[in-house]
Amino acid sequence: MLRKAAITFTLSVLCFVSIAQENILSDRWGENTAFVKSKGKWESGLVQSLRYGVSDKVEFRTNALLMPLLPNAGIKILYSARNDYYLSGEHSISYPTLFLKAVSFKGTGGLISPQYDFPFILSVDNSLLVTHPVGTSSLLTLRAGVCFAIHGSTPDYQSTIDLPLIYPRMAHYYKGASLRGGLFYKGLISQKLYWEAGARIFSITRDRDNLFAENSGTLMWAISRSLRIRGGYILAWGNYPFGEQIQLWPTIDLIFGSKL
Amino acid sequence: MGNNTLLKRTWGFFLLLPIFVSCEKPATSFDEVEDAIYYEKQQKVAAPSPDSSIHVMTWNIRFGIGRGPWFGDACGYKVVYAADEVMPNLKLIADKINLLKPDILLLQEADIKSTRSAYINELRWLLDNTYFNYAVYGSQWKAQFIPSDGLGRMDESNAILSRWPLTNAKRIQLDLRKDQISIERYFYERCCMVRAKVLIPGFEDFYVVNIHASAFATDETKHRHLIEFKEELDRISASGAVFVAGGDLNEIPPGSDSTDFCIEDMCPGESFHHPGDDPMHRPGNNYTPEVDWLTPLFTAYRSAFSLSEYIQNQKAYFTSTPLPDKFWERTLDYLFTNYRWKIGGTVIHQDFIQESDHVPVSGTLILKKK
Repeated sequence: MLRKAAITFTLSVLCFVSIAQENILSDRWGENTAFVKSKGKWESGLVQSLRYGVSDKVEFRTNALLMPLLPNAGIKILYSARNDYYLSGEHSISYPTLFLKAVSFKGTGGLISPQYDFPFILSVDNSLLVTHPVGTSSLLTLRAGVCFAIHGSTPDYQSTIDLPLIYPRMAHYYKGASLRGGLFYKGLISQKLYWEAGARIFSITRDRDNLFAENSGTLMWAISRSLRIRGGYILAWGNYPFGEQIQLWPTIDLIFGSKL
Repeated sequence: MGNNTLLKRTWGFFLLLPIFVSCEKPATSFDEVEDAIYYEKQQKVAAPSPDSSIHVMTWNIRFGIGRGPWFGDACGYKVVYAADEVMPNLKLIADKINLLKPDILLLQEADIKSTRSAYINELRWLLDNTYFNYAVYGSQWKAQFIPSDGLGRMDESNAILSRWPLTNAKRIQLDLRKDQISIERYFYERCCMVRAKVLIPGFEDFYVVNIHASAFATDETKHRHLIEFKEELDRISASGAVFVAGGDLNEIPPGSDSTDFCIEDMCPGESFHHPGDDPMHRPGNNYTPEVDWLTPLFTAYRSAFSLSEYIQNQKAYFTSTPLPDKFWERTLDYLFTNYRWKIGGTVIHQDFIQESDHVPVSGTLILKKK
């Protein structure tokens, strides 16, 4: 009897700890998971999008820093939460024409030749995310989506920014749709220190310059209840217009928002 | 295996993974001397066994854009050329090479997968579409991405093409410009020489040196390049070997009548030579303070055309012009040797008006018997 009570107590504590730790992760690092921000809570990063909990199932998101040059907005909806499987959808649109025109100029900082003009382009992104807790302190997320562009006329294929991280995310502006997949695994090292390993793949529906993959590793430190810093790397491989390339990039971001 | 152990191992794997991956810097810097890069044709074309002379040519091919209005040097607006613009020019260049049939070719501005020339590997294409069997190159301007004017990816090479095997090929760094701010210098070209030994049957102690000196430096950089070029030739000469050396020296011969092209090659809207003009001179167009910078080379070695020939009829030796609609107006391209040129064998191919903003210069080099 005593033994049974002890086991029940232990399992209850473990279960509580597990739930508590998952909550820490989903609250403090909801990016790349199916979790949405709680109603009324918000967070933003210098790089990461601003996320705002409209309700407990709907999150509004936009990248505020990019907004003047790259107007963008999206929502994330938690569709289902059953048996520890969380399913949500991210749906966003952006208007990159302004940005492309803004970086096409003569002189230092000109990323695209001013000889090109850009038509109206509207980029539409739809993704599904499924998250499942693994063990007591980690989350596994699978992501799949499609991104396509609606444009007035086709931009010149040579007016791309041929850099890792940027090229794959802009490839569909020029030709084809972008089929995207991702796998993200994140966990706790301590109450204030978390990690994430991730992999993404971009497959563009065209006959060349069409496959890209990224592997990322990130550490996040919760400096306070409303401020976190994260950094790591992205290892990017791709099939670019000039051929294959592999490149390592450092990443860093400061996340701030509502107290957690 | 416990959950924590698994996590640690997973994290450790991803943490260590990038360490084993080599990566490309935003812009590439080079050692003072490093190995050049070798290309070789798979299906070789039978190379002749010369008994007394070989035909040598130098050509700045302007990355295959012909006389196009490139923004950098031709008062143009265009930065990036499409494959259907570059390929016809490359074919013209290959046709001319196949027509003239030099045994050794010194190329400047052969692009290797650069944004501005539609990512074509021009050197590989020229090797595959001519009778040359071997090529070596050193990058003159190499950056993963130049964040200026939309230049993007850049790999401009100085190359040596040969019928015979090339060995001991080195890329030799020339001085960097000091008249630029550091960020500009980081992404800017790094002028170089390429030196290789050519294994001509029976004449193995023979070197080729190809240089592309700075065009737009407003300080002493170009002078240093010419001094470094001569020092390299002096070293080869001192070893007892024979060389042929040349390229685009971006310098006019001593004794030239015209030394300042700022006004005649001025772009619309530009102003030079007036109080308050900044710069006072069009970069790369005022040679007046530099008129004797080539004198040591002409004194120490034999040019494919002599200074006295040049002085008598300068126009016949002009090799370049920056503007698409102009005829050749200045001499910038040279061939030198420490042995002998065949008299009457030198040709300045001024009739090649479509292929580049430089003409090829060719000469017949007498081979030194052992």
